Amino acid sequence: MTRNSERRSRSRSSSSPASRDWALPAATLAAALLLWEAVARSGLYPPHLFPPPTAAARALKDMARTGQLGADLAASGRRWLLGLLIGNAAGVLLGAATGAARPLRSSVGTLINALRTIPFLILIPIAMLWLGLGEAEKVAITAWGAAFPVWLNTQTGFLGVERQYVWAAQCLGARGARLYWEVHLRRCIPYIVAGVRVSIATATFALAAAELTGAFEGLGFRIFYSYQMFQVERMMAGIMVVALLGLALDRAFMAAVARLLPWQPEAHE
Amino acid sequence: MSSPRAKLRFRAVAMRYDDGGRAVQALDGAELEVREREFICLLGPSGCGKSTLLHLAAGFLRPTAGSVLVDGREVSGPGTDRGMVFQQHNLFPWQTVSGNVGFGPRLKGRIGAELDGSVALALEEVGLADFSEHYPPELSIGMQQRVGLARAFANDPDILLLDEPFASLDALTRLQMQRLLLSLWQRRRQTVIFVTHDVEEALLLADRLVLLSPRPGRVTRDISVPLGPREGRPRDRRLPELKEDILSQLLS
Ligand SMILES: Nc1ncnc2c1ncn2[C@@H]1O[C@H](COP(=O)(O)OP(=O)(O)O)[C@@H](O)[C@H]1O
Ligand SMILES: [Mg+2]
Repeated sequence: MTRNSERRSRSRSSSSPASRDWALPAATLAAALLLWEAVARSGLYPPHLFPPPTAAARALKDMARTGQLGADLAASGRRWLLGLLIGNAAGVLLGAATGAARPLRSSVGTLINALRTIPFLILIPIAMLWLGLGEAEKVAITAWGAAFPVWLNTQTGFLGVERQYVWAAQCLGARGARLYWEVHLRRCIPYIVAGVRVSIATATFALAAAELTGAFEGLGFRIFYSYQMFQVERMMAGIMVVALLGLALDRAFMAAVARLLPWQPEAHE
Repeated sequence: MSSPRAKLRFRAVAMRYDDGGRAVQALDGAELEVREREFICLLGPSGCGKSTLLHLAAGFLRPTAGSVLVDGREVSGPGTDRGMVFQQHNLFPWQTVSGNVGFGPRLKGRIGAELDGSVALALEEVGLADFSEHYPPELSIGMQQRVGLARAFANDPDILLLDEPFASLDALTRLQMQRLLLSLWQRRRQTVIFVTHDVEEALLLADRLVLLSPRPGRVTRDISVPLGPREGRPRDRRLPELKEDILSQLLS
């Protein structure tokens, strides 16, 4: 009964005007920008070290006009999306495997656990040695960063599947791969969703690290290059774009989830 | 009404769980025979192994000693000939009501209009035709258990194993559900084991009551319900006395 009423209040709040859902987040962002502007203009810090957002916005307009921003977005976007897809797919498959079979959990699972603590910065030289200085290396690092949260969450989901669901399905004739497909994987979707959500950020961290070296375009590259050229406004502009993109991607992802998975309130925010 | 042949038989069944290194003897020397088309209710103190007995019959677990036989053959795993309704986590929350009810028929290869028709009929029978596209968490507990019954019956098992299916319902809903269960059951008279801790419920539903001892569970009493046809039982004058009698046996 409690779940029932929760559900009802949830659908009521989602049917409220969209403006109310957006008002507070938008106001918060605006307030943060205003605060930043005020502190930057207060003279507390030299403006060439701490430029206001209006200056960063001017730099951004400049970058957009020359086509540089578009090229950087395209380069990073391609690497990010490819890395995310590969990493998430690998994470789900590995998580399903280590979650379903204890021997795999003790063997492969242990190995993954050992690997997942290695910082991206340390992996990059290895990836460059093995894959060369190019797109493959950057996609691989991004995929690496995207895989772990999804792997861990999928495994957790598999381990927590209520035995009644499995048993009920077996009584109804499900077995083998069909059972895993119909019950375990479906039950895990909220966990996978949560893992993918985390991986949207971890893939970004990994890609930024990968673009530090051996890249000539991309948002991560642009931020570091601007830093080295002491173009602090451009650096801040790049950081702003990354933050806003991250926010937009997370929102878009959760909106897609709410549409595609009406059955699992846990998967929703 | 009942043929002499045992549909389901527990022979000297023992079940020991390993609870993190600690052995829990849930059942020891449990003997029980259920005849074809018989409706029995299983009663006993909490933790005495009632659910365990059902899980063994369903083939989810294997006994540590003794054997469980269906139609004279040892149970080796779950099968569609035995349907189950749990008290909790019964329905798949990721599927709609009709997805749940159609789960078994779909696995049997039914598709399209044939599948839709059988699902619609099953939902009609439990009075939930208007809720076919709802997800289980949107329904009340009573409605969820209706779907659970519909799903089990739609798969047409020979044996139904019901584990306290009405335990978390209010008294009125429980009465309605008992009637519904009987009306579904009376068409084909599947062999039923119904676990309950409600003595009155057991007396209203069953042909026979089976009482288990506290853990490790063994069958201590086996009582044929000495009441007439089920329709007349709620008003039978012997009901309160019988209930008292069985309760005192359970408590002793
Ligand atoms: N998977 C399990 N692991 C360990 N102990 C269990 C397990 N399942 C049940 N038990 C124990 O076995 C005994 C019988 O359980 P159960 O069959 O669920 O009893 P009932 O349904 O009669 O309440 C209880 O003491 C319970 O704690
Ligand atoms: Mg129980």
